[in-house]
Amino acid sequence: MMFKKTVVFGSLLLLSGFSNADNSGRNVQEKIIVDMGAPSAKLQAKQMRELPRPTAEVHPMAPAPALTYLQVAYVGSSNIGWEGVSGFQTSTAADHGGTQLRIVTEELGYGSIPVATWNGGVVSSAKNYQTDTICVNWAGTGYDIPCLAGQTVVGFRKYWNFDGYQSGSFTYQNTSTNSPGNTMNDSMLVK
Amino acid sequence: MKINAYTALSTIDLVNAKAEAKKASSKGVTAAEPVSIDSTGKAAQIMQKYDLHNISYSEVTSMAMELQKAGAIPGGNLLDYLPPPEGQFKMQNGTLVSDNHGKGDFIKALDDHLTYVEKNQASDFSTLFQVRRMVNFYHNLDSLGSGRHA
Repeated sequence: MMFKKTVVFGSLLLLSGFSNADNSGRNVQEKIIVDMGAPSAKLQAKQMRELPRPTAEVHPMAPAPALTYLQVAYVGSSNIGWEGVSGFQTSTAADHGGTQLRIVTEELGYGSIPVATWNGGVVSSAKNYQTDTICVNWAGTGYDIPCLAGQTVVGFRKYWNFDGYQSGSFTYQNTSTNSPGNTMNDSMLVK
Repeated sequence: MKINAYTALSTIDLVNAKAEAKKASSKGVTAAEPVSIDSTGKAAQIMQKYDLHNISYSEVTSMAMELQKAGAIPGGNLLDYLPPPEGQFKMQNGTLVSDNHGKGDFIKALDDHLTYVEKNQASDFSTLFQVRRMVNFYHNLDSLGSGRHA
């Protein structure tokens, strides 16, 4: 008679042993199932590692959307406050001045190579002193700036600091993080 | 909420502070920040006209400009305390334009903004600093105008 352990499965120990000869002389194994209680934590951990995750829980992230919109949106100064500028404007309407001069850019999509210039020179990324998020609103009819809790970020509003200047020429461009890798740009002459 | 001493003086504190400044002046001692005391009083007066819980963006701009003229904006840095329009936007003729019409709760909008930044942009220290400073400022202004309906 042989007694051997064959497999451990869950909380049950399946034993195949007690080999006996039947009437024809062949060996017959009697299977005995013994309740061994709950599996050990170590075993459970091993099983969790080896078993594939249920596919219903897998949510692959969509790639970051490409840039579809990039504009200089506002120019602000201590004397004037904020002046909204349209996509068709190449210069401000107001005569800005004072101790502070700030510019706000807005972009939809994800870019990863931002380049800003002031009077022809590339400026440090530190000039971008604040970034707010842009999300599609709950109704799907427009955008919320900044985003509300639970919304998906689709773009960014960036604030640029040019304090100390009364006027100047600003350009901003960014290149899509993902395909098609397009570059968008805008410029504004601050009077 | 942290209270900025610059704008957090109550009316009673303000009277006491002015008395102290006058006393100090009579003794030939220069008061620490007489300008801020005066500007706080002016700010309190200005804030009697505005309800930050029911206000339009154009009114926020007017109020900020008044505060600027009164010397009640810290450092005179208007744009650190006056945000461009926020809230709902729509695409119109190829440009994102503000879709906020009428009045709203400016304080709640600022609080929501800060909550979002604290939760989702916590590593962006510069943005966090800017938003937190602005929220503190407007909460202080709100407390100055709290006697408006009394």
